[in-house]
Amino acid sequence: MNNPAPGQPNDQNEPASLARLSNEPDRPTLLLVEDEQDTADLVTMIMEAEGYHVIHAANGRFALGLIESLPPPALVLLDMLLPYISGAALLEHIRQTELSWKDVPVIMLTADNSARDVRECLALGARDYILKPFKRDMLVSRLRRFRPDRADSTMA
Amino acid sequence: MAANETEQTTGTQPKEIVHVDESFEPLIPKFMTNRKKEVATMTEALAAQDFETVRKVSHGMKGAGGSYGFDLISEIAAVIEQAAKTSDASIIQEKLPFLAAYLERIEVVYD
Repeated sequence: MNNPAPGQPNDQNEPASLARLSNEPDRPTLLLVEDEQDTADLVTMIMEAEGYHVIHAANGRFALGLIESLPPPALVLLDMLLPYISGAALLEHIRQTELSWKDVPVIMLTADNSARDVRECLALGARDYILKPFKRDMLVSRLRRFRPDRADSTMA
Repeated sequence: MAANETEQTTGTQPKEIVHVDESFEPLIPKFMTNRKKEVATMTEALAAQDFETVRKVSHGMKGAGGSYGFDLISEIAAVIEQAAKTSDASIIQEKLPFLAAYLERIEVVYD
């Protein structure tokens, strides 16, 4: 039901994303895996304003294809509840992959404040998690720690 | 806007002022349209006793609403999601018209 998002064909960003990836070498890339389209649009807008080039995958299967074909991004934002392949399964795949993706910081997004889910993802190697709904300032300041080329990237 | 808000209290329901980050403004029309569509989707799903659809849609709405500044949308969606998990039609039946009416009364102030 959530996939594909209404009016948003799944594959619409595929060629464009790949093309833009190589056209913007100065902007760190962020992979956003989120099936709720309005949440994805909002996070994309906020993080583009933060200087990232955002690639969006609306389901787990599309995300897996990107993980297996793209060079590692600077950051991954990963929704836990996704169509086809869960966020936890994708995280596990990233961490076990032989590709250079295994060291990419992964931040989980979740609308369920379930201690068990959060514990599982942190145990699988997620660096942090963000509860939805989120506030813009909270999202930005928590993610700024992972921005590789910022002077304040070590700030908590 | 304040005068309008007062006038609206006579006869019809009062407007609900919601303060939204001004940089979100370009996304708000689509956001509101999608929430109204989702109320219709959930209403149809409830009529068909399709609680799984109600649960999925309300789960997404819970995550999106407050992120845009509409905290009450997230709160109502959370109640609907919980009710859908236990197939409690009566709570969903009560909350959906309330949510629909609330969406119609929203007046966004960008700041």
